[in-house]
Amino acid sequence: MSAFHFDGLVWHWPIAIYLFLAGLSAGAVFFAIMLKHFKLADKAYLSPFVQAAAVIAPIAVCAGLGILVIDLTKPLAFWKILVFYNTSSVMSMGVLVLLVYQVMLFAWLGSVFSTPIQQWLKQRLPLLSKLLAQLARHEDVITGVLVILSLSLGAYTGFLLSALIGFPLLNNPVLPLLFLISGLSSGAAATLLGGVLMRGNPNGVEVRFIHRIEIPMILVEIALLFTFFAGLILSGGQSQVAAMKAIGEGFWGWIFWAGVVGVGLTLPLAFNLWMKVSSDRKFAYVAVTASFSLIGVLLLRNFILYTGQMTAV
Amino acid sequence: MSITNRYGVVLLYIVWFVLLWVSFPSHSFAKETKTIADSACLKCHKRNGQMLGLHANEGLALTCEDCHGEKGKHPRKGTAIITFGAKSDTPVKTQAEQCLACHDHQLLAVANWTHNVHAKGVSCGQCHQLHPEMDPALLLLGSELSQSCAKCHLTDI
Amino acid sequence: MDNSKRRFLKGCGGVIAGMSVYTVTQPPQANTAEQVSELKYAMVHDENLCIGCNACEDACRKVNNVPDGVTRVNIERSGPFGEYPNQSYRFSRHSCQHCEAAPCVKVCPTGAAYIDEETGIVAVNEDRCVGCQYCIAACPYQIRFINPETRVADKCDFCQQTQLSEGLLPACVLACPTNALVFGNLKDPASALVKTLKSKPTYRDKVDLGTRPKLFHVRTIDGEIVL
Repeated sequence: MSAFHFDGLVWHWPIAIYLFLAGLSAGAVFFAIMLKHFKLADKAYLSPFVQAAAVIAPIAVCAGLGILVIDLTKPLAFWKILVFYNTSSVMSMGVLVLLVYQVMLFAWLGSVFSTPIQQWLKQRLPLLSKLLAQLARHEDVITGVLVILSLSLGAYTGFLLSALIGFPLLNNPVLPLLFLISGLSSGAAATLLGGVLMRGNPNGVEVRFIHRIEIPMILVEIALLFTFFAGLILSGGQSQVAAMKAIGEGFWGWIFWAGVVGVGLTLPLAFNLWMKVSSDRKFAYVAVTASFSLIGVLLLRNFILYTGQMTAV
Repeated sequence: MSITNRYGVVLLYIVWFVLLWVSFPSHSFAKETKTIADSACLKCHKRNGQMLGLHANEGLALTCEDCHGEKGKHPRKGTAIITFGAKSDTPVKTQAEQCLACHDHQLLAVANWTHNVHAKGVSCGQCHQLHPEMDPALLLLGSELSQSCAKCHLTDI
Repeated sequence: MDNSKRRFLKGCGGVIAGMSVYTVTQPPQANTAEQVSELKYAMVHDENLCIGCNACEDACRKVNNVPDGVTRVNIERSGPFGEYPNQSYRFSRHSCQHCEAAPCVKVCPTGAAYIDEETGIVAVNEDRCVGCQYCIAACPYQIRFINPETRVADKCDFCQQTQLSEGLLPACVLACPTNALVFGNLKDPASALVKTLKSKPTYRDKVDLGTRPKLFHVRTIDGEIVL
């Protein structure tokens, strides 16, 4: 049995990347909204970090969906998922959330960036500028709905897997929460990385704000991971077998301990604490910490997807 | 697993036969061994004594008596000639022992698991025939093989 | 600020109200099965009668045009048990269990996996399937597969499209030389199926998952006890 090919494996790494990108998009949107609401207010559109999130979020969600469609055995029939719905299917409901999320995401982008876009339009396309004005007027409602949708999207990536009753590691109530939190932190990391790459101030108010949220978030993530595996091991039976097979041995054990726990959680936590103490943030610090977080979350998605399918009930 | 197994077994067969073919003098295949062709048995058993299968190979140098046992007073009554197949009077155990003298039962089980479950009640000759050029049992693959089970295992409603 | 909060709450309220209206206007579950069907197909596999000959798989492949490399039914062989020459094997049928609460049907985003109300058969609507493979991952019995020719999720449908539509028994049942497979109507007390179920102790696989499968097995009594 190799790490990437074994009996019973149905979903491969493209699904993990899709889950990663969907969570990342949701997280980036969430943090952009938080930045605007708590710190930047009307000047949000000037911040490189909000701009980065505004670029990353739609690209990530579209790329994720693109991968998902290509991964279908009948990619050209993907439209049927958009036409036929099944209320008991997590995937079907997720598609609905994704659709509305994308619409609201673009509406939100339009409303937040309405000032620069209006300036750029300069009375050309009066219909578009009218629409933008409307969006800007309803920004509060759009923002509120988008927050709910982004949280739903982040949790959906977990529910998608936890609905698989045949795999004890996946069919786990902590999984959606774990994916939501790690998705949010990947979004924060992507926002930070994009922001400093777009010449944002690595010691600015945005970085400080996100880092202040990131430390407790990493701690919660560690607690969730611990609960996740402790719960499996204490359940006994195949749950225990699944947990031990995942974190106890072999390739995926290394990925978990070195990749997810080490690079993805411990190092970013240490760097964050260090930056908090030294209170001087440099480009390299911020970029490296964010990159580690992103790698950790991507590895976590692959780790859960593959090890989850390794052990059936 | 069944697919890889099935192909694996077929592959094993092919490798086995190729090795056999290579390891013996070229003219030997499907040609009677001198010891059998010149045997006194063939004076009477002209038809059914002809040995065309793999076991007639020069390299093996088998004689009729190697499998069928000592001639003794045969064809008079009261001899212990061993015969094979479903109609044979020889006990199944004796029949099987003749084959198992050379064939290891564990290797037979690797080739086909059904050898194990038929080890007691069924003689080898009920499925296999060594005299024809090709053993008909080895020609059965896929659905033909499963159909052959039904010849004995048939329950009427 | 206060005003914006109020409007946001209004928006949320609107969404919730819309959702509740939608759920209320949905037809209640009881209405969909207007007249309760007299048919509910199920199958028994008697592991004591099975000889592992694979005739069922061959027949299924032929009748349902199942390509090589995949199969709708598979007899899993375990063993040998015991010492040579007193050895035995155990056989277990591995195919769609036609669950009453089928996980595949629950997760299918397009409704391509569905339970035929008339017969209780878990079936696949090939036109609706997009090949997301969610059903394959969701099935605890791991019997679904992508048909390499149609690129659609495929599995046993009790030969609904082929044999049943012509009034014949499923191909595997007809092919079985030892009558180890019994197929019939669960709701008919006179059927061979119900008689078998009432005369032999049977088990079903993974019932603790709440799937309520309709493939019954008569457990092998031969050989050693396996823990």
